[in-house]
Amino acid sequence: MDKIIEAANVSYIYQTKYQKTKALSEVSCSFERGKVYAITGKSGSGKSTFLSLLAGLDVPTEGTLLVEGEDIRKMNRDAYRLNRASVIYQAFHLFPLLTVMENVMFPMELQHVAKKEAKARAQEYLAQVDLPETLYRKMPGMISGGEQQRVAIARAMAAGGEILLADEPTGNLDSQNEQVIVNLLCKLAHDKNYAVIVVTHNEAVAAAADVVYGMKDGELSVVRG
Amino acid sequence: MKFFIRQAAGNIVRHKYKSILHVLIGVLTVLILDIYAGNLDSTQSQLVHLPESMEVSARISSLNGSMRECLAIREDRMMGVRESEYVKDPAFSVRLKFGFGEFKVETPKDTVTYLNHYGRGMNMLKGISGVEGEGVTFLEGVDGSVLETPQKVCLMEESLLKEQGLQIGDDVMLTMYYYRCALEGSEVFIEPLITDTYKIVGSMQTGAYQGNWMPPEIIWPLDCIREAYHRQGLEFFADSGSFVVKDPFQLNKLKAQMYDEVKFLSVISRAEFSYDGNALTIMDEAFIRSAQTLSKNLALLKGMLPFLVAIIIFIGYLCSYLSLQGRREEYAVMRSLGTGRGRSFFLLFGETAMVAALSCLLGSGMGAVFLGLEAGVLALSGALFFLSFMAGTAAALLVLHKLSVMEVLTKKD
Repeated sequence: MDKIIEAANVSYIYQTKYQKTKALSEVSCSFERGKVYAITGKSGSGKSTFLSLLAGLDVPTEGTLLVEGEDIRKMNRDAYRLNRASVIYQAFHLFPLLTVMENVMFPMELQHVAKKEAKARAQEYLAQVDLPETLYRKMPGMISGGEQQRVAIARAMAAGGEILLADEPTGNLDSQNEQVIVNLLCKLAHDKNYAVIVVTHNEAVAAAADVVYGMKDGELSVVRG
Repeated sequence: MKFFIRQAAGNIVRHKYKSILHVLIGVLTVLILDIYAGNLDSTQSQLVHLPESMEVSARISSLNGSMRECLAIREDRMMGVRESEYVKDPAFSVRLKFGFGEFKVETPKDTVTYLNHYGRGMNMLKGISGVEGEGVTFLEGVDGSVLETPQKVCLMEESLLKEQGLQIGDDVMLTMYYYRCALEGSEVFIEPLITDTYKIVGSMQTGAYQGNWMPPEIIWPLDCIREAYHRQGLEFFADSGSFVVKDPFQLNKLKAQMYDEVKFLSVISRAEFSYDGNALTIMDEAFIRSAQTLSKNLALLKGMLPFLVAIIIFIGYLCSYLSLQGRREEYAVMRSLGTGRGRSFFLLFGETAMVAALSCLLGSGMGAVFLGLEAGVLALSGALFFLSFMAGTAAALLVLHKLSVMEVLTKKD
């Protein structure tokens, strides 16, 4: 299969002035396009730390993290996040003072896509996440949590990457909306060939994943492969 | 660039309450700076223009300072003053007695009969109070500067002109006697000087004369009289002298020249009486006091500048820091979407720069309208505010750059 990310003996140590905490311990795994991965585990097990490394927000203390064979340490990680990997969060993190449409257009503006084209593409992505057109000009605070998360996914798609990282994407949603988001993530992986990596506590999300990893005390193990 | 400007402008509008608060703080700060810069400029300007508003004058006197007229001022001292580059408007005069026509005084009766008029040699009309301006009429093509030349001309008192049946433009023969003061003791002698013909080039009224001696009925150019002394082989003495200090900021150089080179002395009030005009009094106390006060104020204002800059940097830091605390999440989302540190920095920096620039414009406008300040002063305070405020903003943004993006975004709600 088509491996897009490979982690080999990745360790990460949080270092403060007074103490060192090992958050990840020699994690080795790989992620392929077209699959949904779930990483489960208790709070503080190191799931989010691993996700932040995958997003290029930080680099491993030890070990290597390769994106299509290229060491993430040597990459322009801002460009990586802008063009190849997008992250969605439990708290949605939309720009509260931009409209739904403007939120989706934001990554394209960073990529210097012409405004007219960006608008057309944003409409397309919003349609793909089944968001009613009447909500496009609303502020995020005026729409429901499920709708906000769909906007966040449309924004992630707008960047045009192939890696979608999600940190508890259904954590703030009711079961009906939870199912919509899970279906959407699966559709992106299976139909659009994204590598979707989801950090979750939610068993329903894990059940929908193609591969499930378990994280305990910074160590990763395969739960279902 | 267009993206940054659009984003920054959009953010200003979106965060309109914070932006308005920032602008208000900025305008207030700019106004305070306007007042500061206005004071600085005004004090500096007062100091620079102090010599114009407060002339420093000097007067030659006897050694004990009791006499300022009827002196015997040596010619070399007079010329030392007149030729000094530190002196403006040197005014010297010499008093004479004269009569019309040619005559010799041999008896006291002759003095009463012939030598019954008073005149003065002067190098400028300014040197005699009350004889200036509208009261003086000159022959066409002649003006007061004629007194600075050695021409054989004179100005005659109007009533004397009528009494003698003379007119402006006429020539008149005069016999002149001069006063010779004993350099020691208090004797004054009247000695013959010259009989010569002078052209009347003007008339004058002496009704407003305020001098201690008899009002002059004739005024000759000082150098014309000086030459007459020389022609007669006499040593010339002026009897009063004063001048204005050209540049009071060069007082020390002037004093060095006057006391060391021209050999004037300072007034010694206990000295014995003498007609010798050898002492010089420079009336510089008020000027020095004012200059010192202004210099002290200026130094104080300039000394405040680093503190003001530090306060504005702190205001810039505090405003931006507090404002950015509420936008940590927005910053983190931008970073997580791939906006680089530099881009994020310039986006937020540009946003604050626009607000600061608006504050500058409004503050400067209000400074111009309410405080009546000049463009240069407004530009100074505006630039000072903008640069200091933005320095504070840059510091706040650098602090923001240290935050962990993941830590902010993975907080579970």
